[in-house]
Amino acid sequence: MRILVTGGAGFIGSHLCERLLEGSNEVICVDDFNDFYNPKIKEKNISECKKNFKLYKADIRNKKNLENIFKKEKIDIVVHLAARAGVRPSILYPQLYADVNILGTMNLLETARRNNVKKFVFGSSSSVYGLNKKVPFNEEDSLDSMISPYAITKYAGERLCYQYNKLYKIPIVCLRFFTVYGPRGRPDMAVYKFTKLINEKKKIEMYGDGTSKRDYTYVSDIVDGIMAAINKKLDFEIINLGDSNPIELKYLIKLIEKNLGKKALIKKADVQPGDVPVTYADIRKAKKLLGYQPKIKIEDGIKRFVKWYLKEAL
Amino acid sequence: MRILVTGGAGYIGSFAVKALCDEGHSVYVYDNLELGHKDAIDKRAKLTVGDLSNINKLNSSLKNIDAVMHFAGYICVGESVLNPGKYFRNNVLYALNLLEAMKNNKVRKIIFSSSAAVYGYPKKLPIIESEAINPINPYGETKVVFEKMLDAQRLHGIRSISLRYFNAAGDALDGSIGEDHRPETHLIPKVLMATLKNKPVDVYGTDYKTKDGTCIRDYIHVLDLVKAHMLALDALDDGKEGFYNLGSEKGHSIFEIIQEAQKATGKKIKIKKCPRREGDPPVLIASSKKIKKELGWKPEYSDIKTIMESAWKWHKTHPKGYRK
Repeated sequence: MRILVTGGAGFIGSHLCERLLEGSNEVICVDDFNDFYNPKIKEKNISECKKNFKLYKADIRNKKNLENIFKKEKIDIVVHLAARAGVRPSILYPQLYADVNILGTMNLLETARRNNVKKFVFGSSSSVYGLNKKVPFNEEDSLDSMISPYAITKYAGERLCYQYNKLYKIPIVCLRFFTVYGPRGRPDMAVYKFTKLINEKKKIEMYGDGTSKRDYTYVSDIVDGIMAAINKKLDFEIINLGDSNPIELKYLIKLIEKNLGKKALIKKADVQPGDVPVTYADIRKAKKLLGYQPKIKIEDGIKRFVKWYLKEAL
Repeated sequence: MRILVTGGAGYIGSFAVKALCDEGHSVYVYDNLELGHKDAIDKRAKLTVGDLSNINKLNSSLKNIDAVMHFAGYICVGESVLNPGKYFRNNVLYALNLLEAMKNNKVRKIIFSSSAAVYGYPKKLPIIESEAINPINPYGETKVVFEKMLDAQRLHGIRSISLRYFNAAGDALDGSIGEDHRPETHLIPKVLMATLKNKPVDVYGTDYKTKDGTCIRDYIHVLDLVKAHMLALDALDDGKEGFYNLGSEKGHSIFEIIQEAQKATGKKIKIKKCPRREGDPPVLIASSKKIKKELGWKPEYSDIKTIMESAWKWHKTHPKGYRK
């Protein structure tokens, strides 16, 4: 199959591209190599993708770009992972987040349906559950407590997907990712940031008292879920992809310390605006519809991450 | 207060502008005049011709503003289905510029025109605010998303009230200002305009499971709707926020509306039966208990007779709307 992966040079995207290339697929990667973090990292991410791999350096905000790519490449399936990520910067630059995440998604859906793609997979986020009290988060829960522009842009993306499915009958799967981590993880995310600072014997800022919890999900498990979403026959579904095992921030720091063999210098700081106290995925739907089963436990995942960090991170 | 009204040259916006001026507020209209009418704007208000896509113009227009009433937006359900991108772009993305500009200028209060379309096919009638949010067209989606965006603005100290309108209808009691949409998609003006031209009225669906087979809607007089905005403005000052349904709590079928129009106009109105339109729920009736209880709102003009007579007065004297 010919699969377009937007954000294909990013963290999750590059892992997905590699997995797709293991099968008999052709991958068309679209990425704008923006400067949210060092674009060299993205170049390295896809350095092993060669055969059956085509790269377009393009911005999804520009619909012309997409039209040209779709015209040239006959695309069967779109996996749309390109986005401005991160809750905290979205509070500073909501317009940028809206442009890339909503307008960009709109452009892709529009181009995809005009070119009769067979499936559209959208990378959404657990942040749409916001401050919801009831855990684990279920796909049916109401979304009344989103607290960041990032979350809203993802929610808007899901709603756009829903409308395009209803209007144009494109099968669409929206996957709500829960705190994805692993090799090539984004440098702004806690796992990477803490590993780097602890390793350099620098102070780390711990927001809140360390009891906030995240449902850290290892990137290969996420890729398993995306692959199933590509392959299973579905009409429109919103599905959580998480580990379903929330981990306290304190414990995460402990695991990183253990794997680095170094002690963290912790400076306590206030809870950041936009941060939620807990994320916790209900993954029954993913199990049922996708046969999804997370395999990498946090202890193992952090071990693998730290190993990668020490050997390969730029 | 100094109040910016986006879409102030439009149907509901122009009534809000007038009411705000009457109450002694300084009113600034921000409208691109794509669909609005310059002549609909009260002379006491100041107009800036600008688009929501223009963040710079919004930034300068929001200087020293105390509160915003946000009416600007595309409103045609059918068009939104054909062109969802246009609706998301304008009603969500560009509207976000307004919130950005508010943040930049420390404007902390906004009242938003939302819609009963956020509910789609309701499970229970009358519709209460806890009904599931489940829009069935892109227009309704844009309203849902913008409501959520407003929610998230609390991070920046911006507080909001979203009013979920049912079917706004009626015109100024003295016939001075009124509804002039192009194209007109609303039932009452369509009926009255067809009557003026002696043409039959299209009735979409006569086989619904309602008393006479036609769709039932909740019509609320634009003056009552605007009154709710005034109360919402005070309520924001009292620390209230959130969303409220705004309807008369009474349902009228299309045939009843046509009958009422015959009474008001004294003319026999012909109908043309057409098939159902997709996405038209059979019955939509609001419960407005929440806004009555919390904001003390009470409809005064939303009986169908007053709505129809005021509408007829406007259309009879302005057969071409604001066109000269």
